Amino acid sequence: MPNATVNPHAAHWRRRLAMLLILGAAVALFTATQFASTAWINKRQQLAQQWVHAGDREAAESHPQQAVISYRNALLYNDDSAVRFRMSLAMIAAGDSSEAEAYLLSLLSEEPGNADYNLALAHLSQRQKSPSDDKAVSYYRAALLGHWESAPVQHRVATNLELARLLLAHRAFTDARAALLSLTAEMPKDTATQIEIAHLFLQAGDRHEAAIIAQQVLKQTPHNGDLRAFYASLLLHSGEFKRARQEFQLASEHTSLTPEMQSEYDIARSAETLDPYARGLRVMEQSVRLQSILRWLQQRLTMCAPTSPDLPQAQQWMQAASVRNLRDHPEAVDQIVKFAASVEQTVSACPLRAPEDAAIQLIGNQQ
Amino acid sequence: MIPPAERELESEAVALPAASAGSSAESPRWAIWRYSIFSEERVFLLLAIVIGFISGAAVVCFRIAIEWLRVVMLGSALAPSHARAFLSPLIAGLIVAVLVIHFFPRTSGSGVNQTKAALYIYDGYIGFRVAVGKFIVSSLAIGSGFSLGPEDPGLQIGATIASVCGRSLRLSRERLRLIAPIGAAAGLAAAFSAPVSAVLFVIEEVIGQWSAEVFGAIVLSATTAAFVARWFFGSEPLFRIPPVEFRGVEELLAYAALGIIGGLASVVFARLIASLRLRAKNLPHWTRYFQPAAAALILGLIAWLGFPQVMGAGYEIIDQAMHDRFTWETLGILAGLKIVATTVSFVSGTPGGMFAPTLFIGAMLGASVGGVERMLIPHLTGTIGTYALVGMGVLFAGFLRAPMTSVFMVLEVSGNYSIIVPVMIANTLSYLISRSLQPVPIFELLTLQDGLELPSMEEQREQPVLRVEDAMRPAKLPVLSSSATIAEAISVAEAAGAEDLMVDDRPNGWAATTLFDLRKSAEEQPRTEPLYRVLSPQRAPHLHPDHRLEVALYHVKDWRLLPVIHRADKYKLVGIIALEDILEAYDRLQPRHGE
Repeated sequence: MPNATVNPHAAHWRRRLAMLLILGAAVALFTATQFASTAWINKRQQLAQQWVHAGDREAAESHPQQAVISYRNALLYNDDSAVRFRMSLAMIAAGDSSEAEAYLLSLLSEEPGNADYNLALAHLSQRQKSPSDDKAVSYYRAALLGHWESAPVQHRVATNLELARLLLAHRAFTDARAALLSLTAEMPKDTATQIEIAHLFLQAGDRHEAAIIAQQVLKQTPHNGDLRAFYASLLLHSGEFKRARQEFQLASEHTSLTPEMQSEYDIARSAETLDPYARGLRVMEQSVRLQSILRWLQQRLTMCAPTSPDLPQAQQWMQAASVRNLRDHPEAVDQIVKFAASVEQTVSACPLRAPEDAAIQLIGNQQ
Repeated sequence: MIPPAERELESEAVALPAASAGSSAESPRWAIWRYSIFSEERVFLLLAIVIGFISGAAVVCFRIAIEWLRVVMLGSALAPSHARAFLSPLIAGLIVAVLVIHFFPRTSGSGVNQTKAALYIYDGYIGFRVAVGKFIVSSLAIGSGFSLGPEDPGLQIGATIASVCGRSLRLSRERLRLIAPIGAAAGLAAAFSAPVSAVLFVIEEVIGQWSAEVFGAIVLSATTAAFVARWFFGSEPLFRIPPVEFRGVEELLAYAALGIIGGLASVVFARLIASLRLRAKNLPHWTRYFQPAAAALILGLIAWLGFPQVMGAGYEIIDQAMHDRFTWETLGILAGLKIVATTVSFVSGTPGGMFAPTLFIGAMLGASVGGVERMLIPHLTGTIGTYALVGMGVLFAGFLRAPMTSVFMVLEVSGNYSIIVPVMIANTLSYLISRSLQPVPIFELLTLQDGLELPSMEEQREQPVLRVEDAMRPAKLPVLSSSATIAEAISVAEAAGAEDLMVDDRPNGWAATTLFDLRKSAEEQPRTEPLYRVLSPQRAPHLHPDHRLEVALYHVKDWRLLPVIHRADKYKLVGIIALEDILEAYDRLQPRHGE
């Protein structure tokens, strides 16, 4: 039809009406979509839950492979990071490390500060025996700095302990000691953990910290014979022979000492009687103890190295250990102890080593 | 048969009616505002938003329908039981065949070509029944496990909705034609949750050109639809992979190798579809009732052999592949079987899209190639997920032949921009290999098989563009200042033996004159008169060497000779151009067309 016959006014009204109808249709469709979407979301959640429960049950029953399948099915309906994380853990348990790692890495890229993901990756790296454990260590450190969904302190302590164990296993003593020191800031109340921390400190070469922790734990559990014996051992190696002997004595009242403990107990007793550095000793008592040490050395040398030049030297030191000489030359104490320790070192391979030998070495170490 | 009969308002130019003055209280300004609000230009943009909104909601419903049907027909587990894997697609295939043959004959195929046909053949007309049919039949097919995707049907649903809206508002033919691609962008954006890729794909594959108005409308509809889709499905990226880091050139070479392999796989896939579809079309008509069911049996067989992953769109399987679930051998097998499954699903005439299967094949192939490369070169930093993602882009570029879209699609579905360099390298290689081995793109092949001749966007992109510099000739004619007298001009022209002269009339521009005109002026006026007095007051429009030749063609009807000037110095004449130069340039181009 030619344009001239069209009434533009009517055309405008028609266009407005059409637009209103389209808008009405849009609103109606959106409302219908909202209903459909809500129904579908509910259905999805129901299916997801069903599969997640199945996965949890199978994981708990030690069927990780079935659990992985269930979690995969759950992911069809709920792409939640929690489900993906559970699936990753099930994959690790099922031995499927590469896929687990891929999922964990993608989870981590979404949430780099998540401690759980970092910890799982640390476990995975350890399991995979990656070329160096640097990866595992860095994941552990990231986990320590990350955020936990629940019980952050407990998780941090446990992670720190794992890290310390890993570092000790790789003889990274300084790093391990640093990890353990950061643990002491959040010392767990659980005595077993505290004892473990003390042992780890000892492995890291920090007897002092180990002794402090053991002493603290003993205040809470004074009848723990094993711990007391451990504490006594720490004291013995720290040069506190008298206290070590006392603690061993107390420990023996609460537990039957193992042969190692008994041996250390004997060493402690010997060291206590031979130690010329014991507090409050007079010169005469020092002289007696030094002479006892030198006599023991003479016997040991006669038995183990009769031709050794140390034997006549021991005789000479005997004179130096006299009361008069010690009064005039107090530095002779150190010299005699140093000599004794070196002789013990020389004859350490000789059989029939007595507690006195170890005691003399320990006394020498105190210098 | 297709376009609406009523076209009386086709060129309706919203003129202010005299009747509006009938309401005496209404001021003219108000009347102008009231009517301009409903002017076609504004309605068009507003309509783009509304189309985006409606298409988005419709595609959301479509996606929900597919997922729900999947649960009903294949069960809620990822891997269906053998019985379901055989029976569900088989039953659905029989129903689909009946529906397509008797109720929705125009729903067969992916939907991209149908949208192009609406634009280029049917003046933007797509019947509403197409959207209804596409919704029902595609959701049934994909939900029952046919190896097809929801994106292309989503595109067609959007295009249909747009067409219906445009017709309801009685838009002019020009705008009605463009409305279908606008809806297509909305549908694709909602189906893919990727508005940028949707916009690029429609421009790259459907319209083939950029113009501010169309681009604005497409962007508005696509973003609105994507917003609606994200409202319902959330805005999480489709795939998640960790950021990629590159440590050496070998990393890029590894992706380049993937691009080459992907390009070859694209060619195989395209040729397989093209040849089998032609054979399927040539089978007796009655076989069409059973073609989808036959495809379903093949799908069931593949599932029974232990590869149910090839059923359906397969996005969840792509995600698993990206997370290193499968070995490289399994990934390779999955890529091959998906090619088979998609080919039989598509050629059987089952309505459904090619996007998702293409991405699936690309992801499996990419992950497989990545697995092998990582085995050979263990220090490569790219994860399997990275290779899978690049592989998706590679197949998209090679098979669908939309290189720009392929790059942005990968970025958009992963939300990971660290991957852009390998994606660009691999996609380009794949595209070039596919183009050289398979000159006719798959969409064009399919339209040719359907007896349609739609413009090839790739051909349009590749068409040589003639510029003014290709046609202009050097300015060897005399150039005079406009202050020169007529006598001087005549003597210069005669001395040079030139019929034409260019006049530099600073600061007004350039003028062209002829010896004949000058002699005529000399007869009528004193010969001492300066040229600027005798020349026509209008100055010749100037051209630059890089102007398209069409620009020169537009002006040459009014000016026998046009100056071509330097862009940095408008008084520097670099050449001249006349109609015969332009025609000669087109003549020179002709043999190249025929090559």
